Amino acid sequence: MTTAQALLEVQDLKKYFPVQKGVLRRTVGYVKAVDGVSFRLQPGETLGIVGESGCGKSTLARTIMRVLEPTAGKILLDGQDISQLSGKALRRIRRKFQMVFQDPYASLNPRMSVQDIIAEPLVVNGLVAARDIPAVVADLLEKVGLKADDRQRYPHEFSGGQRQRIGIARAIAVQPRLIVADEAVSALDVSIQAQILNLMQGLKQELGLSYVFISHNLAVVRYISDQVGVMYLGHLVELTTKQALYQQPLHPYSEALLSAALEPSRKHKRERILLRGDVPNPAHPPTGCPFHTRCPKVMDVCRQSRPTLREAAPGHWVACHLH
Amino acid sequence: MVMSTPPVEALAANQSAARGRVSKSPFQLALGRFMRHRMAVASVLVLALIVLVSLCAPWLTHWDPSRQDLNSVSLPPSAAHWLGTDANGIDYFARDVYGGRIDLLIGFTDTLLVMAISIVLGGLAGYYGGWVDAVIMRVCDFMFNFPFILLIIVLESIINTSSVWLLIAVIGFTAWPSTTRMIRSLFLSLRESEFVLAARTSGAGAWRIIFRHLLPASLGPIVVNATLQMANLIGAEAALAVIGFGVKSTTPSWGNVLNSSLDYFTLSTEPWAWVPPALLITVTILCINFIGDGLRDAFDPAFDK
Amino acid sequence: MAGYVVRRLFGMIPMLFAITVFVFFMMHMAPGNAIEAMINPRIKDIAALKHQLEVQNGLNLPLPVQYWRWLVNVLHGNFGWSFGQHEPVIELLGPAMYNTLILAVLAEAFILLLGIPIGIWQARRPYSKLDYTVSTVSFVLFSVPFFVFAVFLIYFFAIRWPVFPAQNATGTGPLAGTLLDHVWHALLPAISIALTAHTVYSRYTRGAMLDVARQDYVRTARAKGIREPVIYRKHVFRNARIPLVTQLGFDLGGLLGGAVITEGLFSYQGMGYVTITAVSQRDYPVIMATTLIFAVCVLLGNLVADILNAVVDPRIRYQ
Repeated sequence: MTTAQALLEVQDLKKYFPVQKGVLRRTVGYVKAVDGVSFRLQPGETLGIVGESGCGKSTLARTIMRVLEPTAGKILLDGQDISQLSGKALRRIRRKFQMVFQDPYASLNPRMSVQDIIAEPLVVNGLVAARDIPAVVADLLEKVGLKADDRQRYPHEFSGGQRQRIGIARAIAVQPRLIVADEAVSALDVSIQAQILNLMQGLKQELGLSYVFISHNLAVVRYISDQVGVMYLGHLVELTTKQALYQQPLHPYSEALLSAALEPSRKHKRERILLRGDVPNPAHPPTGCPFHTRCPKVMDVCRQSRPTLREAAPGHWVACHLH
Repeated sequence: MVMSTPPVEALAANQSAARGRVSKSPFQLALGRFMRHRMAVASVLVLALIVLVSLCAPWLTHWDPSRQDLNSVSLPPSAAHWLGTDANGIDYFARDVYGGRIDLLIGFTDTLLVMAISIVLGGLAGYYGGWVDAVIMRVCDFMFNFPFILLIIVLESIINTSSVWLLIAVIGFTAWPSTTRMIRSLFLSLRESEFVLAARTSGAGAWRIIFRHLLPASLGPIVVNATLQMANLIGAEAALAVIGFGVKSTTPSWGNVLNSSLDYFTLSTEPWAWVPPALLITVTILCINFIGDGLRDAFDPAFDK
Repeated sequence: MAGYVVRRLFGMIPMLFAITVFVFFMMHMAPGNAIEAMINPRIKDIAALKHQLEVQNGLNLPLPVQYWRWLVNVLHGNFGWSFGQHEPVIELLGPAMYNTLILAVLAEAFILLLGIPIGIWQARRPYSKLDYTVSTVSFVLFSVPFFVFAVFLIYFFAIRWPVFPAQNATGTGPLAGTLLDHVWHALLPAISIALTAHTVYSRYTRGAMLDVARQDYVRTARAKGIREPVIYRKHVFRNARIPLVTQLGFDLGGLLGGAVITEGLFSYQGMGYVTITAVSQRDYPVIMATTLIFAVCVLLGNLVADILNAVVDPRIRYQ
């Protein structure tokens, strides 16, 4: 983390979902899906976010995208706080940050042709004259490895990987600075995942993009990221460079995650750490450190107070009482 | 996972597979699925015939369906009066072919009315949620706990219906809640779908999202629901007429013809009076329901496999 | 559970209030009233008589006051005096409710006895030719308006072969007024309702049974060697009945409110028939009473549906 102007800076972001009960829909509690997440993303960098399902990664992505209303916190894009924008101002700034979705089948409107899908961000932002659209779309399709004459086809005629390429073409259409990819390759076959990741890497160089790349797959995150954040139960528990995290994870949760994803080629074998128990219900998170119920190195202090994210080594941030 | 450059051959093969056939739009695919439902296709033809007969009534019979002729009452079928005459000397065949106009007009107009109300109210409730949703749903509950037929009867006696349009308004006013609920829940679930989120992150506004994404995506269920509604509404109108709460008894409608035959004498001795309107109502409703069933298949992409 | 029921019952009050207010004000906004319909227009000094009758019946008071008086009376069990039938509304409604109850129970019994066995029978041989045929027939029956069935039933079983009565809710003779006599008169109307309405149940039953039959626990039961009939009785139907029960509650609410058209067609003196008569006579007190009872029946039907749901589905618990 440097002090230069970050492309994206998230400060203490929170997203709580009310839990309602009864006929009168009284709010009886909150699911703290994202509970105080902070990070900075430099231009041209990729931040990977890993965590188990239900840890709040997708909520984080959607809150940053302002599809969900943040409960608290700031989202600074190029220094401008977008967390409070609404209506027209929000719609206007959306072209700076775009999203690639998880499900290549659900994220493309089946009733629209590929051209209409890709051109939608251009049309709603009034960026391209109607007669130029076919040429622009053709160009975008070629950029993502499809053919220009795929324009008139419909999503159901494409495979999952091809659909994801269409989704990427839509995201880069407005020439955004930032792309948030939420499990962008998780629904694809492993061989196709590699193609899409390579495509995204290539586009990043070519178009000067930055990514927030969210995935439960450690290998994918390792492949594409510069920085990696580990999420657990709505909290960012560790945040550092890819090298530091994969060589020497500090948080016990990160250690456990990495040990579970053993790779045969790994040089120094690490002992496999098995986590006992389930992820606690986010409507009733444990007091103290959210991980203490499953932590193999739990101490008394962990049950009392919640550790904050601290810089344990240069550029290596961790929220754990051990460090 | 081992990362390498993409296997180019595989990618190319993938794409050429997609290119092998002529591109069919979702509409063409749906039409193909509909055509495979034989009963639905047959129903379209039969219903078209019924509509055509009603529209061409003046060319099919020279009898006036409302002019009384006391010199020729209660005649049996003959060359002049194909289905005989009623107690006022009106030709039954003329009443039957002209009657379709009223039933189809009410069914069609009320369906449009109900759909318009439901799309606006259900759409607002589903898209905006919050208090808008709460208010609209309360009104729906209110209407739901009010028996449909009773409400129409009470409203009719209050307004003292004498015109077809008032009856249409009253039926339309009572029939919207179920469709409104359906459209609301459709919108509620579609609103969270990824392609709608994609449109939002693209910067699309509420109108574009509703008209370009939510409505087209709900079209299938809406059209299916509309056909079923039409069948219901035609049945309801006829049912009201049968107990004497439909359009004015002098206006020819299938329900009215049936209603005027509901006495011991006519039922037992003049089947030509009541069998044709009963069958016409039934066949019309049956055809519409079959078409609805065919449309359900047409809009269900799973049927392609 | 008891607490839940009590809360639901209290929750009905605003809805009933809204419905009665709506009907009350709508009725009084219409031109003309029951007094005009009642008195002979050739009577001398008609204006004075009309005024006197209006004062007697409180019809000259402001509407909210009139509604309030009606409400207070109803809460004291007094539904008022029928202008049309010249007797207390409650005495008019008592027999009508009894008749409607018999018709509703009979109709629902026919619906269930037809619909559920047919659905189960189909679910045992899904996607076969027989299943397809029965489904098509059900679809056609579903499309036939019940009043068409009613007319044909009257023609065949009351006129052509006069086996059943097709008029009135009770007859004459030694059995007149007995339960048997009532059921006898309710038979044709009930069948005419059930002939179309049972198809909803056969379709639901078939669908639900097929859904359940796909579940892993049914496959497990089969793998354990349990005999097919037992599997269907103990596993499949037990779980498939859950959606049926919901429908049952709605049906009962609607039927108890009165099958207006059917009662009208058969001149069957139930709630629906009384309402039709009252509407044509602008008999406000009767209309208000039947509206209230209709609404209560529908709301109670919904509540019964929810309670039955909890009874057959152990996963649902109301607190």
